[in-house]
Amino acid sequence: MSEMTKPLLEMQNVSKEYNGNPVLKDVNFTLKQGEVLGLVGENGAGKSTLMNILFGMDVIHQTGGYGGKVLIDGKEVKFASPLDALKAGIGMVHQEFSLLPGFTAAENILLNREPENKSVLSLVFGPRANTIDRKELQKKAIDAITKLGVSLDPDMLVQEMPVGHKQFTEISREISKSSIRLLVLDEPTAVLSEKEAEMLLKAIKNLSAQGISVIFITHRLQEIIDVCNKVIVMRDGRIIKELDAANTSITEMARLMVGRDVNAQSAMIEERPLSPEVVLSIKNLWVDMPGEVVKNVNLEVHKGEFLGIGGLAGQGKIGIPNGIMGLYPAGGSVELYGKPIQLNNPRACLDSSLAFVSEDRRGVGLLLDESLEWNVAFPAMQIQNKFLKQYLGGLIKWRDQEAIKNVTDKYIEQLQIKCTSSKQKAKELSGGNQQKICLAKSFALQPKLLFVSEPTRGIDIGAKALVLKALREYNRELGVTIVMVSSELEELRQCCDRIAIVTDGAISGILPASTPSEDFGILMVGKTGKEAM
Amino acid sequence: MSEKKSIKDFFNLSFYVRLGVIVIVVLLAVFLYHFGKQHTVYVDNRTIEIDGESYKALDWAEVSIDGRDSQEYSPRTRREEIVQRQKHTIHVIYEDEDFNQFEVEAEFSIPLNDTQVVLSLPALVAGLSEDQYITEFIPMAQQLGLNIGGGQAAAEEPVPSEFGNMMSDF
Amino acid sequence: MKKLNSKEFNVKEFAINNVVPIIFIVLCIVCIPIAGYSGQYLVSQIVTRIMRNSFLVLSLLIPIMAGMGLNFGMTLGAMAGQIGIIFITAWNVVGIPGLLLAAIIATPIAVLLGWFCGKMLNMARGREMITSYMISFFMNGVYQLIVLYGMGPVIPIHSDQVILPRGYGVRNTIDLINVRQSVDTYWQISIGGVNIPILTIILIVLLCLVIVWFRRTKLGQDMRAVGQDMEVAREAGIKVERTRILAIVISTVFAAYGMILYLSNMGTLNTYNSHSQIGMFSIAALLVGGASVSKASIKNVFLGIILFHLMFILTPQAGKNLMGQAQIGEYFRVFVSYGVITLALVLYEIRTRREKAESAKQLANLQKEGAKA
Repeated sequence: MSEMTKPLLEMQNVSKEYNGNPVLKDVNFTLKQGEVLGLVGENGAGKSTLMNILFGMDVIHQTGGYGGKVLIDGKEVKFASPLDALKAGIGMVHQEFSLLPGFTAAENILLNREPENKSVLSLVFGPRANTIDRKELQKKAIDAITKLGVSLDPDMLVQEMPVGHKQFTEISREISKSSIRLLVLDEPTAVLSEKEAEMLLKAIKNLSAQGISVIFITHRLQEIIDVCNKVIVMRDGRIIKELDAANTSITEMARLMVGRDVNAQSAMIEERPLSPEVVLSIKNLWVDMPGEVVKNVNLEVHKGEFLGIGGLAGQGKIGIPNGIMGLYPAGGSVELYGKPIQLNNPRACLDSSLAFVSEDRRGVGLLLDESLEWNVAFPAMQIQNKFLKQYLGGLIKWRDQEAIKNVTDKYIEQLQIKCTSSKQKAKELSGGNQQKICLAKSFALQPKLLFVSEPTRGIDIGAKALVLKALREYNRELGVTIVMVSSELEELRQCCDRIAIVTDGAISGILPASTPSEDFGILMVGKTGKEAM
Repeated sequence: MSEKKSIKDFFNLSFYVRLGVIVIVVLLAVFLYHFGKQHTVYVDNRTIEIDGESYKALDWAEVSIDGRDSQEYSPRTRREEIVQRQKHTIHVIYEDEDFNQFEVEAEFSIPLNDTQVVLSLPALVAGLSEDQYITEFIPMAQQLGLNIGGGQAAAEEPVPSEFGNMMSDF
Repeated sequence: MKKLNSKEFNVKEFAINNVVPIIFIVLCIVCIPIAGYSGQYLVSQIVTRIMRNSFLVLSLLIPIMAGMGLNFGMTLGAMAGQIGIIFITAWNVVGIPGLLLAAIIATPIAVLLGWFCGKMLNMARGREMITSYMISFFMNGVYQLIVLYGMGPVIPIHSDQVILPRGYGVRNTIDLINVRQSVDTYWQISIGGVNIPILTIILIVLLCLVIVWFRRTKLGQDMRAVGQDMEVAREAGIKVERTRILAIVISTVFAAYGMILYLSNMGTLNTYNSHSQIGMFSIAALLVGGASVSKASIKNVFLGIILFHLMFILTPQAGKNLMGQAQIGEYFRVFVSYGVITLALVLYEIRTRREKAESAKQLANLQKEGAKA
């Protein structure tokens, strides 16, 4: 192969494991100059890890490095830090914007690379005493914006920009780095309106025409078809298939993304009829949870059902319970048994017997420095005055230590929580057991409706099964309505009656759990069954 | 590939400029000290003993320092003159017992670090050298050491209250 | 494209954002007739105070720009300036040369103290203000140790004007006859019976120009970046810690110079008190001028000094005329000084939360509309 046709980027047999768990296996692909490569896959498929390796992120080095080779222009490279990647001409635009709100677009685009006018004082006080050449700054910013091919006002403050423009500013920043050859865009259209997304796709084509390669990570499969040359579908850490974007379809890609072996479908839950009584009615819910924005969710939860909420990361599914329970600013209307629940008020929800097991167990779920007893009993004690001995008609409330110990021990046994005693400190437990304590805490409240968010995240397989079993029992035997949010589709299909899929901050569809995975996959990528044709 | 910083890079232009600036500032400080330091010269017309010899106070003298207005001195008078810098001239017209008038002009230089000095007129007119007629003036309290003014010290003992006396102006 | 914030002039918005200066203006307007001072007296007093304090209050602007809040550690700069003054008084170096020399002596001390303070504040991210407040207390102790015990035996100072009769330690009050009013009287003109010191004005204007120029330098730009979002700045490659330390060092050095000017104007040094008062009052003045923890401009400095000092002058007399006791006015002064700092801090917090909620709501609305479009 001659020098001219050496691919810009090549990955050979790249693999990665975290603590013995393989997250990437045998990844091979090439990327030519000016090519646009689409990268699709569910969460946990390995896309972020792959990009972290490409970008030389610390987290890779600190956990044992990676296997295989990364080649730029045919030569092997080992990036020790993102700075090395930058020097090699690789730029990355993340989903979370790295922008300064009080600066203009131009200032952000050239942040820390501003053109300077040398001043005499810099001899004494150092290079930072140079003044900034504002004219040159504007010019360079406009150059980058033009190169990208979007319309962006260089003098607009970032905090006054609509989200799409913030995205363009981020991308312009990468473009303005003169040596840029490869741009990685991680879910760039997630926060854009349709019009803005169109502009972005045009911009990507622009860049490709100028010889800049693009790796485009997205779940909006239509965009992949519109703008990419090649598509790589990943699942469970492997590249399932490399496709030619012009010759594939959304359905094909969706199937490849979520398709599972037929055997795994055997552990399905038995179907049962849906109760006509609506327990929780959600209308026009919006939630401002950074990274999981909810725009307009309408959902009805029926009595006694086990409803699953799934969807890809960042689409908003986690925002729903967080918003309802008042942990993030929210609006819209939520009614429990017909009575409206005040939003932005966690206490109101707890008083109405709604309980929530958060996905952030260390941050929100537990009092890490306190004993298990305290963790389990506290909310019930606080909200429902349980486990208290009341004297003088309720004026004096004493903790009923015995009752607390009893209830904690009960859950320790029921959920098989591994600990030294009910008095052990919560922070000393393993992740899985901590999660079980969070569950126990909610169970102790004996809620009418239980929200559970990512209950098996970070838990080993054995513990997973136990947690799910406990939830199923709670639902089937005690009749507690459960709404479970999870990014693992199979988990939802094992426990739930129905599964709603959240895409772009709204419900894109609700299907019975027994529906084949692929159909859910199509919902996840934002097209209903009909449109996918 | 990162650049290797060599020792040679350290001594670049910026380094020399900074060194130069520091040197200039230090020199400036020394200059300011010389230029701005005020000395108090106590012109003394008392009988004084130096090296065993006694020099009697002048009966009358008229003294002008650096061309300022003359001051009259009778015996046992001491006046203070406040001057800046070291070199000064002194012009003395004095009379002895026989009412003979004599004129003496001299130049003297105050030692830099002495804030207060005593210039003895009798010694000056007797033709003694500068070292002998100019002596450093040391306040009594310091001479006698720590024991002096026990009560005074107590009164002076600062009691730094937290935010000061609010009565005072800001 | 739609902008998120409407730029229409809303009286209610204006009032809420500037509530502190408005309260003060009202207060002063009420007190002027009660106190009964002549206009000429007030104007000349205010002019004096502006000359005296501007430098000090201006030094607070830079840490605010770098997102480090109100620099209670300016006390350290004041201490450095005081030490310079102590030395030149003991050495009896007079006039402007004396002040220059004091500045030269104070500079390395201020740089060192500022560097120390900056390092501490970097370790206490998010809690800068309370940390700087505590540092000023701590350094006050060190200062007293040095000045009360070290000066004389360890640090050679032999002037009886400066040292206590017992032979070591600096006196409570030092009369700064050698440098009193040196800068002010150097070049003075009289307008309508009010003395205007031109040289001082030149110095203050110079400092304002320096601050304006500073914002345009790379370092100034970096500080603004760090002040908005440390992590974003860090990702862009800006040396965040170093920038923050520099902000404090510069502020401390300016505070030292400001203190020297202040003392030269006052003519008296309260060795053990001046510096701590200075910190509190300068910050109060800045806040009265409408500055906030995260935003302050030169306008705020001058407006603040005028309003704050008007209050300072008027209230004892107004209290006396109203209640027959000047003490009431004294207490009022203290109450208002601390009160305004508390009010500003609380308002800042409320406003931040409100803005966050507002922008979240607007963003969500925008998303909704964008989705519908």
